[in-house]
Amino acid sequence: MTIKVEAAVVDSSVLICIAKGEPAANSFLNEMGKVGKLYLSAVTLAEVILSTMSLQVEGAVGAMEQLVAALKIETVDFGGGDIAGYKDAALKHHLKARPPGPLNLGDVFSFQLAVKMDLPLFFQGNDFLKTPVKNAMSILGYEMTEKNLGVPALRNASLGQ
Amino acid sequence: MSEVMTIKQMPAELKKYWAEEAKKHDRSMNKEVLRVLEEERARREAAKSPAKDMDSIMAAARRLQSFAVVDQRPIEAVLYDDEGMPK
Repeated sequence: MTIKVEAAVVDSSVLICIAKGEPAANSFLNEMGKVGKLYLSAVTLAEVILSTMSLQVEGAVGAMEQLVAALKIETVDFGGGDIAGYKDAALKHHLKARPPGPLNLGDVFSFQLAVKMDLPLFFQGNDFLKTPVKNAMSILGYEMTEKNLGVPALRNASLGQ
Repeated sequence: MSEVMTIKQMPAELKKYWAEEAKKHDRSMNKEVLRVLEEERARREAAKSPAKDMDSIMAAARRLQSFAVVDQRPIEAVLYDDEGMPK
């Protein structure tokens, strides 16, 4: 049976992974290309723009915007009505929470949007693995553990089959 | 901003069904109904928009990757301090 994800939220870590051409880039592109609807917090897009400006040479920001357009990712505004959800997420999962959680300021925006929309999140790295957010790549059959640093690997491939 | 919506003339049997579904998923009935509405919206929007073009996606990714990476640090290290706050 083919497992499908109809809609999902995208975190900045995935877009930066693709920009850098990291090993998981093509897996993310292939899987996100099949998802009906993708969403990105407007704050996360701002974070992606700043990161691209810093990590890559001039001109990359426009190319990043073209990738977001090609993937048909819809940017979702963050407004006053979202503060309660953000606060709740930050108090539980931000590094400044007591006890400290795994997420930084930007991560909490992705987390809050995924929880608000009740959708899985495309992400890379260990941080979100330590939260209850639904993992889109895991749903699609990829293994992501703290041991492999949250880099998705196809479950069958990881078993050497 | 959130709004209040009242559903009139809801068949008792339908209400009972969604109350049971909500209980099954450990959600309030309100949250369960919102989730169903969001799912349906996503499905309808997906059906409306033309299918994604994998060739365009891969071409956009290749173009982005053609811009040299001048800083290999992870994004967290570029934007945030050790306590997850902006640098």
